[in-house]
Amino acid sequence: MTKRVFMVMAMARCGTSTIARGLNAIGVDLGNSLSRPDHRNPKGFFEDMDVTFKINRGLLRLLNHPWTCPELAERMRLQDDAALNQFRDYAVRLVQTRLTHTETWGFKDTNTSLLLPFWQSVMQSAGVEENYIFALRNPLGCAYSNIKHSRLPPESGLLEWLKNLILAIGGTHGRKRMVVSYDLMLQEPLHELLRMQRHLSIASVSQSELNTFASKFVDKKLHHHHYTDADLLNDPAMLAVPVCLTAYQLLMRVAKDELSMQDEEFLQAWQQIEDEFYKYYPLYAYATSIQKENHLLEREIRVVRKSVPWKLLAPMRFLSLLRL
Amino acid sequence: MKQSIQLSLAIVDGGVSALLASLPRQNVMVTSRVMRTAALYLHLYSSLLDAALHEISLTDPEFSARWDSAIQEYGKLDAIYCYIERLLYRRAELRQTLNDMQQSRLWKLIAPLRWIDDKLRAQRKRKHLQRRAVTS
Repeated sequence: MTKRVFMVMAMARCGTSTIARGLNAIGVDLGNSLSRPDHRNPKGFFEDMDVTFKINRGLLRLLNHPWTCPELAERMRLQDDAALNQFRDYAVRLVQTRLTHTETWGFKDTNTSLLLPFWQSVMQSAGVEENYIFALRNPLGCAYSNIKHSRLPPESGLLEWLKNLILAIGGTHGRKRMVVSYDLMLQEPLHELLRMQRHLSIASVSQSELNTFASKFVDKKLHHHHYTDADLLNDPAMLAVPVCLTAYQLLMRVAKDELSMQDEEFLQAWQQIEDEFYKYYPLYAYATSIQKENHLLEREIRVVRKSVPWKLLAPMRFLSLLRL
Repeated sequence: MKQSIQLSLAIVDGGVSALLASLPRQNVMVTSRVMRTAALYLHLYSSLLDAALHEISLTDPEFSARWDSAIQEYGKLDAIYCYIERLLYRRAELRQTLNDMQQSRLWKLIAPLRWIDDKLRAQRKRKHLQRRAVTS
């Protein structure tokens, strides 16, 4: 029987950790190398550290952090094959190791959708079946939650939200995939877990695991940024990326099983969303490049302010201010 | 340079039409990387250039239709342009802050101390990256 890999994809703050834990509750192994919880995610990230830090972040560093697939493809083409093969070989070995004692293994990382062509080639080399789970959350919820953790403006969060879904859905046509709503998962965890089990064709699940997830893990108090559909129409940040609204409404229909991702209606509607995104892509990419530059400048200023020499100068800076 | 030569030649040849015809047209502008971020201006420029070349009149319904469609498109992009402007303003602020810090006399005075601090930080970063290398 072919072994299976499950990839949870979406932008950070979309509920990918809760959905990854849900995947674990229906019997998918997440491995033992998970990152520790912190203030950003008190219940745990459920991220495989080797995937997140060694492979995905290492690869993005090597490729100088591209924003979307056109940039990624261009930089991969320019990159030395030996360096890329080193990552590919490591990833193939990692997938095989993780699947040594289990039939199913899952991982989540926000950068996977961008690196999808890389991961698909890895899965092909490892001879495993790919399954994709897209975490869906209200785009404003993600964008405003992101402000708290990354200090990026909401428009930047909305662009990230859209970009992740465009790349993830565009790169997985014809493959086994599903959409899981984070908001629905918090409202009806058991229903959503059984839906995941059905869509992903997972044979049997332990009822006690499902109950533990629903009663102990899911905590609505940790859902701080709750936005409604009306907010999507009224928030000024939405005007910068209006296509987020269409994409969210369409994917919510899929998450509620009102529409299938294989339906012609979905494919046509998604094509329109993609066309709209790529129509304004140069503008979005330009905005993102300035945002990245600002981020680097902020970091440089922070490094100077936190450095010992700068702190040593504090009394002299104070005196020079008085003199002014 | 090439463009200024073209303009000069057009003036030598005489005739405003020849001069206008030598200005960059759509095919040149479409290939420009900068223009791709502001495709709307391409339509505006093209309409106005046609008017300047007397290929279309400013009172022509076709010109009005093209102009209205460009304005409608601008309305859609207004929010993202504002966002970009905010980002550019923030970038200028950050550059100024960093420049003020690095150009201050006090900061220059402790250059040797900073050199040691930079070396130590670079070493810490190298060790951090080594721990996360795919070969380990």
